[in-house]
Amino acid sequence: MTLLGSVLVYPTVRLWSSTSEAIEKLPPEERKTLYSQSTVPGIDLAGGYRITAGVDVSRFTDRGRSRAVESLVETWRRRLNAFGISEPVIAAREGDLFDIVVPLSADGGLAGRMIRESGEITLHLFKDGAEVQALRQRIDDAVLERVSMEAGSPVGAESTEEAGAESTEEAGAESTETESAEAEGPGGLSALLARITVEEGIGDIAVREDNVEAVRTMLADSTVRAAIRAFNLANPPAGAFAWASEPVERGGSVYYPLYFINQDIDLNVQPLASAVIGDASVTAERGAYAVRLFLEDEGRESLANLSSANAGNRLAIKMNGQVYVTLNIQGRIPDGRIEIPGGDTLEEARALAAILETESPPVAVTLLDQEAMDAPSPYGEDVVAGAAGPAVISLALLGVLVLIRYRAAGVVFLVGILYHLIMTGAVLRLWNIAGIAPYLTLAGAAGFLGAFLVFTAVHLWMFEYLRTESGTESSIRQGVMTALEKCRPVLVWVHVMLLLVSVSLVAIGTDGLVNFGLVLFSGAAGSLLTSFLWTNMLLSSLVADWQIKKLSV
Amino acid sequence: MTNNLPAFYEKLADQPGLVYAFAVLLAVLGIAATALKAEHSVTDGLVALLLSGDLLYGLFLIMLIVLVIVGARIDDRPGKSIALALGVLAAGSIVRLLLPFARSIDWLGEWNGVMIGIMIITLYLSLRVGARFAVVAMGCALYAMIVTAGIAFGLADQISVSSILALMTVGALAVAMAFLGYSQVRIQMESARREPVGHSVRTGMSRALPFLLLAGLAALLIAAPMAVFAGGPPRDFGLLLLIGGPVGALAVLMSMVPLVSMTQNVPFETGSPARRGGRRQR
Repeated sequence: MTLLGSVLVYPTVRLWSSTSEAIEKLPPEERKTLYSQSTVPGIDLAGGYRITAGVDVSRFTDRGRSRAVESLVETWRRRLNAFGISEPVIAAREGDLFDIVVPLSADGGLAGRMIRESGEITLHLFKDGAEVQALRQRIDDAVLERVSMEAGSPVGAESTEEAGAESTEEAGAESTETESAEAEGPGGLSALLARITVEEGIGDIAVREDNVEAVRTMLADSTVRAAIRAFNLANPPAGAFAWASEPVERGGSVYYPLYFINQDIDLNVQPLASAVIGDASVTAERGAYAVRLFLEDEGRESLANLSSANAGNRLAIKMNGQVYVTLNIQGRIPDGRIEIPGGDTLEEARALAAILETESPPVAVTLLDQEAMDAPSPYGEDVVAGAAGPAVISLALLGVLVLIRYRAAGVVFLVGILYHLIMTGAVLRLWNIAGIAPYLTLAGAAGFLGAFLVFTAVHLWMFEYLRTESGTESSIRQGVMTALEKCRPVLVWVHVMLLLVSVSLVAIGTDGLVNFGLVLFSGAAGSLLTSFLWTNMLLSSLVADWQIKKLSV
Repeated sequence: MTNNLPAFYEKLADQPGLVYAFAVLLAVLGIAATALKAEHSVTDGLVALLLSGDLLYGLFLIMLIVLVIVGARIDDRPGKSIALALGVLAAGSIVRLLLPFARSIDWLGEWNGVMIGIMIITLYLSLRVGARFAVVAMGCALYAMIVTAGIAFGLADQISVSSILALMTVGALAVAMAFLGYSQVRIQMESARREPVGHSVRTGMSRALPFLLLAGLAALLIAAPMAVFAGGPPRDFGLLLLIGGPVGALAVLMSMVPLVSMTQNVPFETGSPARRGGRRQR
């Protein structure tokens, strides 16, 4: 049991005995493993990573602004909590800026994503292919007309038609590989587009990496926007271009798919009944994990109707203004279940599920400090280091008291303190293995202090009882064994009481109360194990096996 | 620890006025320390914790656990203690379910009042079922927490969640010391069955005196360096435990007086022969 406890507590000892520089020098994977296996000091003890976010609430009234900000902060807190970051510190600064501090063990990148993304997820039907070709033609015409007007020489519509036709034909001829659909006209949209083949032989418009900025600029141009507007008026429902969230690689080049989908939302996926993480099946190409979204009753019915009416069409799942994934509608989708790629790691999938389950208010959020940076503890620098010296003095004073009172037998008590620390750390690790990762925060420190004081009281009671009872029997062996026998139920029940108290706090509490309960439970369990496996057993062995003549209690 | 000390302590049981006066003086000192401070700064986290109702409900649950464990082990009323705890737990849980409703109509104060009312009724019913030691153990914890909070919050700049949790630590330590001290009384009761319980309380508490003094001293020695040398929250923890540890031990020591007065002429009650392993009681 002692060996098992030592093995379990080893990562925590390693983490707490290493300097922050030494931890930073570790390879990322090793550092992540170390954090995941140990009891990590919380923000209020050791500081954390700071993310600074700016929010745009200029379009709100004063009252609306405070409501939106309140709701946004609550959403951040819920997401971070759902991700397992149990004690984020979120503080408002002037100028609609927020400082979000997360513990050292948290993944700064994923925490930033949970702060930044709105989590709104919507479904949009694809526009018909012929309509897309027509729109592209119209845009090309508009661009060329503008260019020619700027240059002062008219360009015949004929050449444009030819270019467009050539482009389409060329693109159509390509079925498995990518090819740039070069247009002859100067600056036409078609000149910047390519066609890539996705699954099931479906062709998508895509833009090569080096042309992305040019296409973005072109689509933001007032002439092009006017052309799209006019096209939308003539061909309802209105459509809009949307970029894919992930680029694709074909033939050594990187392409960004560009979709033309319904501008209005065909189905709002939220509110969700649940978001479940699992192994990817449909989206296996986009990572090992998937998040399965289960729609609520109303959404499920709407999805069934939408899919039933649009079998054979394609559906774009849009998130954060980008098309996250596309879906071929093969028939009615009755179960209201949608699978979206969750990434290559479980952590990414968990972050995505946390984002999607808590939709944030419509407020644009930008991260100002993209790089995670050290944040000082909000309670002052080096709380742990500042308390270490006084803690050593405390133990020394306790040691002196125990040695004066119980002399050599006091050593059993003092070594028991070390055993208690090991066992407490081991039980904390068991919480970790069970999927509950308690940080050692100030609340946890209070719980640990409580458990340590009870451990001290229990041992003092045991030693005092031995002191009183050991002289009443004829032999030291019989006296000690009888006294220890009588002690056991008392030791068990005082610890059971403490364990029940801590479990009830964990069950009903939140944040600090839960942390307090978890560490109190671990400390109480450590104290119980120490009382039986160390103190009781050692004292029994001293008088029974080693047959000592006198116990110096 | 001289031999005169236990004798002096046993004599105190006959002078309840002196003990009660000291207890009141200590409580007044705590209240005065808080009252003299112009204003108290409370953190947002603590306000949220108080408004959530978790703290009060948590204390209620702790109270029931103490009732069951101390009531079963020391008072030897396992059935009655458990039955009472379950009944009161049901009532308390129903009140807890009403918390969102109370919050929505701004009746949080009334909700707290009802919850505290249930806790007081629980204490009364515990006395009625004979769980005297359980009630006194709870009283010790409450007294230690009130006095400690009074003195410490009079000195502290800010009251935070961690301060309240450190205060709960003081309460937990007081309950543990009470349980361990009363265990001596229980052992005494079982070895002197013919004597009234009051006599066993005197003897048992007298035997527990060295332990309680040492436990209070140990808590003081552990907390003092933190209160003196550390800064920030560890200093606050140190201060709370510096006061709370010894006050908890004192509270348990002083609890001998009400226990003696409650059990002076109460005979030791043995359980049924079946529960005693079939031994015939004479």
